[in-house]
Amino acid sequence: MDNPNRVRVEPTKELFVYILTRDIAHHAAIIELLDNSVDGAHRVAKDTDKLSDYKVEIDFNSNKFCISDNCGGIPLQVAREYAFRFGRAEGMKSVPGSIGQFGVGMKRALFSFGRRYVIESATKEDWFRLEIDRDEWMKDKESWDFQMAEFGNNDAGKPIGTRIEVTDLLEESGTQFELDRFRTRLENEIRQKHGLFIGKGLVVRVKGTAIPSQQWRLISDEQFVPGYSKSRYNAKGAAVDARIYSGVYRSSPTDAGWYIICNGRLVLSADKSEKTGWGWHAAEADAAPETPRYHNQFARFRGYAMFDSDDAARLPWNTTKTDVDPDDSIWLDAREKMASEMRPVIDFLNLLDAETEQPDAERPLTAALGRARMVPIAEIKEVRAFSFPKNPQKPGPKMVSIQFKKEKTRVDELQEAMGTASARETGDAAFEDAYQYYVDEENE
Amino acid sequence: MAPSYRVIDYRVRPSKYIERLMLCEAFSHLRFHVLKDYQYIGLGSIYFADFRLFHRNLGITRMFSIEKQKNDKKRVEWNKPYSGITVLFGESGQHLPQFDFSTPTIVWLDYDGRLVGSVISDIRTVSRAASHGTVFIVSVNSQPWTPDVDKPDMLEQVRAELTSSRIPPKTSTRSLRGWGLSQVYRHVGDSEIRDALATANGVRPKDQRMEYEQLFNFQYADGARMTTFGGVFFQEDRKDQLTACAFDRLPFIRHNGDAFRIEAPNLTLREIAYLERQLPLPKGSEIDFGYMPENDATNYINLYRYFPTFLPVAMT
Repeated sequence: MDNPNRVRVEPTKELFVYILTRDIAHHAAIIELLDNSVDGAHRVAKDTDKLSDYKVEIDFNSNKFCISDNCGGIPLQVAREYAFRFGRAEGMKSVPGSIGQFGVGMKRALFSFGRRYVIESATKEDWFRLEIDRDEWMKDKESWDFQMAEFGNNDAGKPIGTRIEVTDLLEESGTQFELDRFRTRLENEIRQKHGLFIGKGLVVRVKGTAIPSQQWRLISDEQFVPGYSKSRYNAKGAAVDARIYSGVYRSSPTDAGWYIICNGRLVLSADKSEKTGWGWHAAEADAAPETPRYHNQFARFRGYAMFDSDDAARLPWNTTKTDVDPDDSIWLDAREKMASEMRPVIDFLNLLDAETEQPDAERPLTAALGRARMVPIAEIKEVRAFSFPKNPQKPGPKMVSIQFKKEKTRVDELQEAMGTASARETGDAAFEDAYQYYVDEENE
Repeated sequence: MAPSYRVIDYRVRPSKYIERLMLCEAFSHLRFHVLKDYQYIGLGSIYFADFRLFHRNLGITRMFSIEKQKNDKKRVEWNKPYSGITVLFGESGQHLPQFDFSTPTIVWLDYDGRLVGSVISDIRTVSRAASHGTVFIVSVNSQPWTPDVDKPDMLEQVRAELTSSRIPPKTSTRSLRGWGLSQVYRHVGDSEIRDALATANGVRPKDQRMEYEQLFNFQYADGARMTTFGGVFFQEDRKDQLTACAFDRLPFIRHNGDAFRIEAPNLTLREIAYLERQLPLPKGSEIDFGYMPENDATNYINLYRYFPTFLPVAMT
């Protein structure tokens, strides 16, 4: 060493290959790759609320992982200079409102899945193909560069989009990719985390199965007003807009809680912990107001906190996008707002819970809830605090009876097929199914 | 809740009886160990029908019945048909981890209830501990239901009982009706067996890793719809023993999500006798159904060797 003052601090390749990969589970890594596709679609879409022209296919088995999309492709120049750098390089133009931000997602996913990678991408203008052998790359102690295998102008009209293939899988990855349990977990995560984009038309297929969208709704009508507040944080850098929705929905101990969404990407779901304002006690918490711990009597509670910014680095998420950044100043402020907006909903749910002791005829709040409409949160525009009927009318929802006759043999057949216990129950179930088919699913 | 044996006499449910005989025949195909060396772990209730069958037909003597009804201890003990049976009182989740699964074992967890968290936990316990030749079978109630007003609907309840991440996102309440819940349960149970096994294999040396092959996927309804799934664990390098079992010679073996539906046919004794005279059917020849509905007759042909030879008789 020539310079005796020199102390080496540059990173090693091992850090990226063996250490950073420990911080992320496989399904979360796949979702990060999906984030890049969504950013691509946002970059090329004329209207980012209409994504139905864009498709992402994810496929995997014990030998291979593959993700391909038609979301615009990576420009050759961007690939050469920025796309594969570890960490975001200065000078890279970002998509406003992007979700793939930290410059680690793709590499981390590749390294945690396997040892050989092929990345092909084509834009309207040009295309390239990279073939990387991880172990060869690691042997080279001098250069960090990947080498293009092929590239050129896209005059031939190669289909626009990006395709990433990983082979020579690590043993753990191969094992996971073979399991149905893994696939189901991934499908559910995609549905949740990218539900908003799928709702805007983006098609995501896992092993050929399209993931259905998930619509977030709250009860909203003349009597029940969901809480909605907006605030803008612009103390430093690009502004961050926060929108907080709070209210009630169908009773579900699994789904109840807070949902945190950054630039449309869900980072935390159905959270019922202190992190999002549950169980704050004045004595110990460094935040107001006082709130109860989660109990199942709050199973109707839903809260959605959405943070949007042109500069994704300003958003309060962690680098794996699986949680909030607990020390982020915007987050710390927003969660106090969330807790105070949760308060009136909690009060209402306590009153509702008290009604369960009463006979059916004396449960006006329960009855009023039964009548209320459920509205997608995107349709909630008016800034207000959550409120509920103070003097609800006693009678239950307006009911009509449906009566019809059908051949007994056909009713018996339907009853057998549905697994219902009586003709009445069969009619009832048939109505519920039809409602789900024509009303619920049509709206999703 | 009243124990289910107060409500149902397990001996006279025809489809259950057929399933039991089919399982017994499949066990007789086992070629991993000497059959008599197997231990049997079941949930014997007070009838011990499975215990009787497997002892008489397979010669298994080391038998354990896990019984959750602790208040009927004396009655359960008194009803034990053989001295080789040990009754363990308590929950399956409490006793299963205590067993030595390195000895040849058949486990049949024949639950009364649905596939819920405690069942998942039992599935994982057995799948992680299973050794070469372990047979593992789970039966659960998969009858769809119509919830009361104000109660969470069926899908919501299933998600709460199993956690959402286990349920394929395409599942709807509508898709759970009929045999839909049964299919979801088989899928969730099978995925869980393989997931737990993969976890256990992850820390095993290569030559000690286990594989799992599904053999059973039964559906039947004597009253409530029931689902049975299960299979056998084996070591990769001893797969020849699995081949030697020749399970595929049995018509009811199922390796995937398509269930073998046990449907006891409605035929008269005379009709049954007429069919049986023609069985087993020589290759290439066609059976004469007489005046029987083809559906019932075909069902009977598929089941005849396992069909109960008793008739339920009303005594009053």
